[in-house]
Amino acid sequence: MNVKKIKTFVSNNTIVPIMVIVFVTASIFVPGFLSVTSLFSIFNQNAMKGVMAIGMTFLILSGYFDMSLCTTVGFAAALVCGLQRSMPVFLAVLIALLAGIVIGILNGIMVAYVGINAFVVTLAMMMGVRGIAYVYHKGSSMLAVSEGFTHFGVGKAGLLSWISILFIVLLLLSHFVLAHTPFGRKTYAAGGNAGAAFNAGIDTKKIIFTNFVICGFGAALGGVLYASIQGASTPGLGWPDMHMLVIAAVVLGGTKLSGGIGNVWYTLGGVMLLGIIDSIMNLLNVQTYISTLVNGMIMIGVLCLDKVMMNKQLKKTNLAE
Amino acid sequence: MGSNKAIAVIKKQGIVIAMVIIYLLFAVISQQFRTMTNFLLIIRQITTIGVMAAGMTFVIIGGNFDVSVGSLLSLCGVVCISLHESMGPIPAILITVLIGMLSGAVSGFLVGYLKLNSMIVTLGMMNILQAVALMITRGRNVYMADERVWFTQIGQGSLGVIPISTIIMIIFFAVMAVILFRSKYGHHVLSVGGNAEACHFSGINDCMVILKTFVLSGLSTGVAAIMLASRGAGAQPTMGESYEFDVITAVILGGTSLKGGEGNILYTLIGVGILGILKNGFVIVGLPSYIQWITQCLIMIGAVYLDIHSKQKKGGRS
Repeated sequence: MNVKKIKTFVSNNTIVPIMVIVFVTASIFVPGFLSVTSLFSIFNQNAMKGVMAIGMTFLILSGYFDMSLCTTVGFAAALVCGLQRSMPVFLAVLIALLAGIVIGILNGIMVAYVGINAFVVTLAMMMGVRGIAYVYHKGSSMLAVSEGFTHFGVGKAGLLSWISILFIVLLLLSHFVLAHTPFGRKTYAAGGNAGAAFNAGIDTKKIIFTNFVICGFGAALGGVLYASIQGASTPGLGWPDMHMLVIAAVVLGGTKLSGGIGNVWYTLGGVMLLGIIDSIMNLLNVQTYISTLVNGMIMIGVLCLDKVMMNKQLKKTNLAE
Repeated sequence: MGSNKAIAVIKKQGIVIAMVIIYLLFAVISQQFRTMTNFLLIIRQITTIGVMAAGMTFVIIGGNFDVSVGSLLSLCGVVCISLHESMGPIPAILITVLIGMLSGAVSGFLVGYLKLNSMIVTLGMMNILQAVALMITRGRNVYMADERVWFTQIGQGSLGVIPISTIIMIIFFAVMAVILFRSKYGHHVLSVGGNAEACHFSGINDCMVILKTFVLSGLSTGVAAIMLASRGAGAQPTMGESYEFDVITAVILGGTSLKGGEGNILYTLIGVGILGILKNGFVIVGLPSYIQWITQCLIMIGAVYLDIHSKQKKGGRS
């Protein structure tokens, strides 16, 4: 009975065995990997990406994805650095987050209510926001002048950084929203089968719209955190593949791009898997070229593995019926 | 009746009219833009994106994406130049095209047969190809020792006044259009993109059809890389970065449906033209590139919005 339980758990959470394999191999073969400080520093380094990935998880669960995330990150970082010269920091942060929400609202209106293809809308938005961010930067990078702001980015409470704590809080919060609120259930329903959800009386347009706003907010928050870690923003921040990395992290975790299947814990797994691999490469002093190569192979490899395990699971359920 | 017909034509050819209007707009603003030399420059500049977009049209009609074409362009470019120096032009051209097709076949196999998500697969391929390009060159640019060989004429030369690369692009589009509209394979691509399952049950090998669309995309990227490398008589290992966005934008502007199953490769050429005119025009008028990105954003959303609008109306009438 217990073996069976473990088996179903593993085939439902393919990221867990993959993580275990990578983790054990790294602990044995990579010197300096298995220590409390290094594990915590991996978590701290990837918390920022995790914050963005949580927003993206909501959107992917409802069946869409957002390519404009990469430049939204850059734009929010630019706003927060530029505005804090002339106003209090919290106001600058607020405006930066608001900008992300506005971008999310625009995306949401065009996709959910006007009915334009999400890929086109967010690709176009990516270009547009990139342009606006460059206009704002005037071609040069900007420093964050507030000390409190930059202290937050590098500050730590024990082994965890402030940003990691924020990440954990957001994880718990979004788990609660997805699993225990009507909005979460409606998101799963809209992503799983939009037509059926609509017929069951769910306002799918509103759900999709809201998820675009959440994703925009997550992207802006990621940008603000990035600026506070780096203490500056550059015009090219996030371009050209930040959104790709975030989507990849979400999908590697096991959330399906077709929507309706997944949760935030998968996303945590995906983000940390990419983070662990990155840190292994660093510890082994591998050339950046090779780490890019390995990253690409892992993306495809995990997808293949996921497919194989999924198929087995489907066959089993078919036989049981 | 006559005016109705005229309106119908305008609606159907809206994208062509848009291109002409954009061209005329720039021509009025800038004296430098409306010269013959600049026109010839534009039609030479668009060839790289143009040839790549021809292959991408097939992939998108099949219902998938290929975001690896940018990195593939870099890889093919550096391979082409390196081989030209060591083995001569003919093997260089052949092997470059072969590498393009091979890379396409790998993504095509993963997407077509294993049914993996094309976005993530080609994203992975993008990383792999970029890494290989950097490893081959060790991050350095490659140049040709002697530029006075016939190989550079592919990108730099002209037949009369018309650039050779433009002629290659037009022939390429003609062949691709024949494949899409006049061959059995083309019909299969259109129907698999529309409804893969139905095709599977009616005996079409849908996996193979999808695989071949990726091979075509790889092939066209190989050809584009040869022309780009030949024009610059050299190649940079990251020269294709973010090309994939331009290529996909051009295909979308051409009215190919992202849901698959619908598209006209000749309109892709118009999409490429619009993009080329914008890029060239903004540089000549002296506007910074970020204005171009914002415009590109508005045009893209506008084009797709109008497309949806006209289709909804059509659906309402019939």
